[in-house]
Amino acid sequence: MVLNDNKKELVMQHVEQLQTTFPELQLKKQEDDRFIVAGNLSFSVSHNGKVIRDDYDIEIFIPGDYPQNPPTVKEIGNKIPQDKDNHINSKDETLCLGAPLDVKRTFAQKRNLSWFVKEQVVRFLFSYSYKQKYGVMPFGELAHGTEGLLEYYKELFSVQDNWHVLGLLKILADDNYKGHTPCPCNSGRRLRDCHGNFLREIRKYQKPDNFLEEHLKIFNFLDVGEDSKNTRAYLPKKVLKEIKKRRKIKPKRQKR
Amino acid sequence: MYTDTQKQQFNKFLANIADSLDIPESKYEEAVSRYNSIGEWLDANDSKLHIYKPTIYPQGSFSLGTMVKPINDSDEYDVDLVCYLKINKYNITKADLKNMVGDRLRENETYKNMIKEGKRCWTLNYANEFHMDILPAIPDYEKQNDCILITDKRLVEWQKSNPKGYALWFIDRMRVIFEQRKAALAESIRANVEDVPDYKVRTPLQRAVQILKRHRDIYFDGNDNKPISIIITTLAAHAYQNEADLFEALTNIINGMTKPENLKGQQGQYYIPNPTNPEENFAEKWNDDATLPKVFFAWLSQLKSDIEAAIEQTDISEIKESFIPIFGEGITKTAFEKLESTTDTTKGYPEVKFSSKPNKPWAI
Repeated sequence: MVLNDNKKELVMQHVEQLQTTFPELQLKKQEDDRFIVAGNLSFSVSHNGKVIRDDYDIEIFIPGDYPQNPPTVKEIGNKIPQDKDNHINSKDETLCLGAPLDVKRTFAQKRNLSWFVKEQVVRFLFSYSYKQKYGVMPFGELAHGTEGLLEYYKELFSVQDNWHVLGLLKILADDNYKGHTPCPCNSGRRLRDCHGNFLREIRKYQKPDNFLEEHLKIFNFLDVGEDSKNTRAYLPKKVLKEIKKRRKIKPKRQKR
Repeated sequence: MYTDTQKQQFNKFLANIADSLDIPESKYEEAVSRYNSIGEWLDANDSKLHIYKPTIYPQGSFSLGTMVKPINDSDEYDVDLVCYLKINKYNITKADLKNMVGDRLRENETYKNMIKEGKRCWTLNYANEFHMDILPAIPDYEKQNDCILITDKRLVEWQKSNPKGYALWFIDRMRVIFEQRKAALAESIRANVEDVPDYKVRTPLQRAVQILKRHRDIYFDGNDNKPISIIITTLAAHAYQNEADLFEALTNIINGMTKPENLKGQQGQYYIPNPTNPEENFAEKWNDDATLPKVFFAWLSQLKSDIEAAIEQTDISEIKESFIPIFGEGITKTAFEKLESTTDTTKGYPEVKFSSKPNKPWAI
């Protein structure tokens, strides 16, 4: 979270731009050069003929690798109860704006604070206000935890089968794109003629390690075991290495 | 109607409706100065009335703070005035009392062109401003306090009344909130409470009465059977429990107005007395014409369902649409614009339009 001088300049520029629409959000310098943009965010959004006007007190945390990665946000006015059902992360109380890749992908369209606040933060807060009023999330929502992540990737890849998700994520986790290989979605086409281009696009937004982490979450969530040959074909290389290592030390464990 | 914010907005909307019906402060002050001038003219040294120490004071909605604009939305307000002359009822006829006031008014170069004769009162028409109804009255020496005698419409009998006492009773029915609001107003303009005149204060009771009267005016639209304001005001004041919240007050008033103990006498006849003069029964006509109570109750239940339907609307623009037929288009639009402008000036709500594909919220 340490910003160098160039980054500081960039953040300050972005905050200035942000203030032209949301003047009450102010840049606050924290210790260790950590930057937080905080204040009251008020908005008026018209959706399907209904107008929502509302305001929330928020804190926006600028990450050290900004604008490579998007900021995170907390609602600090106690207007949204801390609950998974309200899409607040239990770990750090930040707003869960969407699946991680989705948040990065939307942010990457402009990589600035104005865009982030308008399209992602206001969108989230508007959805919350709208749900309080009308009982439904206007743009839908994902299930909690890994189930929601799996749901997200199925929709993103337009596939129905859990294994197809794992197969596609494996390519991203291994960072091993080979256009001539069969596409893991079982379409019978080669990767370059099927999901290939899409994988090449989304790997820009997230590191292989992030995809690996998500792959493993989904894999463990499905709880299918690591043993069958079929299963192992879907596991990323790093995982397979881990399994081999564990196999070697397994007998020792049994002796204890 | 679900959240506090929505309730607040509904309340504000209702308050704005009442405000738009009300007489503006500047007009109020102008009216006071106008009727004071009338009083001075009647009591001038060369006036034949001078020996009777004539005074002019307001009665009815002008003195109660429950004025409503006419339904044609013109800016001409009806101001009801009592012209009080210290004469014993045995020393004057009803017709003479009326005529001596009219004669003196006609002696004035200005008034003589504005005056119109009513059945028992004189009206001075101030173009585009006011219709001032001047009702001659004398003291009721058989009673105490401010009881007066006025002539009936046929100029045959004396009728008992007590508008000053009634106004005091009305304020007393909302005393708690009235004092609170007055103190708050004084604080907001950094003045002493004693220096804040009563007419600057508006309580939920006054606003509820304005809303009731407006709804009545639209509902009956020219129909002669419409319930008289004094009945609505009296029943509303009985039902009011010093609620601070306008919507709550209005709901409780609508539900409480039909309580039998405030409507009927011991023999089961309709009896809605002036609380300061039991001999004055505001509902006297209801006992001669059964249509009157019937349409009163029908109107009240319509009002109830209209308000219930409006509060069902969750969106402010839908509330507006449901108010238009029941309070009138002009008033509703004025109130709505005011609502929008106050929300906009207290706080800027930047309009946001999304252009990206939405992220679905998630949680770890």
